[in-house]
Amino acid sequence: MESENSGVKKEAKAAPRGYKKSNKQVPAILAPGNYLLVRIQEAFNLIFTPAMNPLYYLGAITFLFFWVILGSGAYLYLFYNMSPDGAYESIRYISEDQKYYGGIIRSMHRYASDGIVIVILIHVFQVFFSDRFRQYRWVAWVSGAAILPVIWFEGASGYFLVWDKPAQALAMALSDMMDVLPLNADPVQRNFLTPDHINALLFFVMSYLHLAIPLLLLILAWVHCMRISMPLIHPPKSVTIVILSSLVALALIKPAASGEPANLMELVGSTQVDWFFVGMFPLMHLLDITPLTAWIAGSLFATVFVALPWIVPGPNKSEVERPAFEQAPIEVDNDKCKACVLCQQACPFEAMVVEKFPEGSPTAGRAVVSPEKCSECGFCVNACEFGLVSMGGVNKITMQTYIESLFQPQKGRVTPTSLAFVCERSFNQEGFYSGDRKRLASNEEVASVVIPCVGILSQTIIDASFKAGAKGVFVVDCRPLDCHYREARRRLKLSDDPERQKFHIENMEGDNLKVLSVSPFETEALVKKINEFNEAVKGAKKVDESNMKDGEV
Amino acid sequence: MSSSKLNLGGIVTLMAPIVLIFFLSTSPGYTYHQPDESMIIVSFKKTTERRTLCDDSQMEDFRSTEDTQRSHMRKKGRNCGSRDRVSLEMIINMDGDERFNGLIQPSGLNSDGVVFIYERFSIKAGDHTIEVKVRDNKDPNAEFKTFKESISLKGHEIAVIDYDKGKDSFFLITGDSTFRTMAK
Ligand code: HEM
Ligand code: SF4
Ligand code: SF4
Repeated sequence: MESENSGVKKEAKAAPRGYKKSNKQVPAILAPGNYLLVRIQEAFNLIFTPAMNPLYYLGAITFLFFWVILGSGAYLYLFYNMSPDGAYESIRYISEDQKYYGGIIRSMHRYASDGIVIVILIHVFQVFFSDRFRQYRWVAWVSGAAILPVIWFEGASGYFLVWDKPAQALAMALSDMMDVLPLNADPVQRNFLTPDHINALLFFVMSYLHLAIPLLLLILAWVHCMRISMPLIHPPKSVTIVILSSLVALALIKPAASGEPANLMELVGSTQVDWFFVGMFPLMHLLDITPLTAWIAGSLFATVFVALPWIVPGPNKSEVERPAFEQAPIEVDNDKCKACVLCQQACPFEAMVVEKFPEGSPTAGRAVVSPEKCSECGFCVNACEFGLVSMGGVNKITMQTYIESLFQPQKGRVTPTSLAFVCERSFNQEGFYSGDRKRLASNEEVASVVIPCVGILSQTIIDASFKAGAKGVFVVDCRPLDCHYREARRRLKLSDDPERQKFHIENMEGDNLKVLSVSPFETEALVKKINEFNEAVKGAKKVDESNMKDGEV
Repeated sequence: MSSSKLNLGGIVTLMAPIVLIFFLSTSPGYTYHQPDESMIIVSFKKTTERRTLCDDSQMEDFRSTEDTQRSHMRKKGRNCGSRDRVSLEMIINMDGDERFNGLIQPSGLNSDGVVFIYERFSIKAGDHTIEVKVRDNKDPNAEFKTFKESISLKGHEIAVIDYDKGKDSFFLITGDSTFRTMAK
């Protein structure tokens, strides 16, 4: 970080810089995909509203599918016969003799598995193209990458257990894949040579793997969310209801059925294929791809995929306009720490941990930041009511001083009437600000403060703005559930905590405070709204006290 | 946005994954093998001859070292000569066409294990004569052992050719799971 770019410290000398370039927050290589992603998200926002947009709940929906799979799978296991001779019949029994419960449960088990693949693929697309997989997020990416083959094998082993014709084709394909590995001299293929060759133990192993892998998945999912504080793992009720009823509907319209029973003395002719799990094998057969080629190509792909957080270069920082409060490593003045844990609660990435000291110690405790987990979002800066946390020299006090400076009368310039806090990621801010980025280009009466994320705002800062002379404060942030630093997700979880209420921008809204979440493509409408707001508050004689009461420090 | 538009958009969007699952969970189907295709799988394991056996002087050496070694250092059943075994040469002809001709290495890092064979041969349904020729002697001039059999395969039928160690001969398992020893 080049600290000379810090708006606060170098205010006087900062060269005028306009937002000439388009939004460069995302690495150039991801830009086209990011554009597509945001367009799709916006279309979904129109359809579902931003609060119910399923694209903002993909991780949570994945969990929902996972619970459905676990629940339905547990039921199927009660009736499943783990032997080559009994497997097929036991599943036929569930599907046909228990048509209206077993059959539906079996279908839901299958379709939730297919659904999880779709949702995971979109989840991966989304975290990748929103640039949320690098740096402090690498643990989520790498553990996610580890989940992929495990989920795939879980699904494939499920199809094996049915022991019908598709399962036979799968067994052949899997053993062909195994046999090019230098693991075992005795070809796995020989296990499926004739019905007499089938190893009952192998069946047993597959069944138990199918049972044990979900445990492994739970562990991986835990690792996946380890560095994400308060991950959203439950979709909203309405989303849950829609998904569950869709699964039931699918189960009724198209009950999952087995193929013909497997017969090792007979070739597999035409079979149905679940393209989500076993589609690669027909493709390999069709395109004559040998198992060895598949292994090589798969390993290369996997290596690149896992390494993406380190391969994809970050955005060119010199092209990115800096926020007024420069992102930088966090420092805590621990001599005065009260161990109140507010900073830890504010942190979206589990980077801040507060240790409480035993009673009688000189200080109550200390707050420790792990730099490798820290996103430099700055949420902790204002969270500390005692101003002990600073980011690159910026703390609560300097922020307030900076805001005051914006309202100091300047020769040849009108004094601003209102203040806009603008998240630097929220939209394409090209040409949005005046040369020094302290006013809107379109309206000299509106002072502007570019911030890394609205999560750094607190009641104190809002109050300071009014005190400095702003008659109105306008906050521009991203779609809340799409916040780069997961601000709104935490707010959802913390919404019952009165201590945290004062950090919820929405709770501060009133006549002179407006929060507007924008799509990245709405600059013109936004400018219009800010101007209208400014006109409205200009007439007001006095700051609305209601905005200042509870949070006054 | 009007509510009718909202519902329509919502329904279309929600239907997309449902329709995807509806179709891709089973279709399009795939035909691995045409109805007139059948298959012969040649698969067996066989222990081939040791590459070198003891001659008299080696045997002498072997015995004397064995005497001087402490018992726990002796490998049970250890033989003199080298441990590695010869590769298996196999030729498979079907209806007079050579379908396979190869040298298969014994398993194990020291090539001292069993030879494992697993080869699939796609073949049209109908009558066929199959000839399996193998040679796994340390003597490079030894003759191939040849086994021959005629078989009539139905569409999709799989026949398996396996090796019977006891009889030192090959046998055929046909689609109805009946066994037939191949003629020498
Ligand atoms: C069983 C499969 C998966 C589940 C249940 C799952 C679930 C989740 C959840 C709940 C979150 C947190 C969302 C939030 O509250 O902000 C998340 C984030 C994330 N996931 Fe997954 N995920 C899965 C698979 C994957 C895969 C395959 C990848 C990529 C290889 C991946 C990459 C990520 C990344 C990079 C994040 C961090 C995003 C952020 O911090 O905003 N996930 N996932
Ligand atoms: S800057 Fe953000 S990520 Fe870093 S410690 Fe503070 S709250 Fe946590
Ligand atoms: S918010 Fe401030 S006082 Fe409270 S634990 Fe964090 S650093 Fe200490």
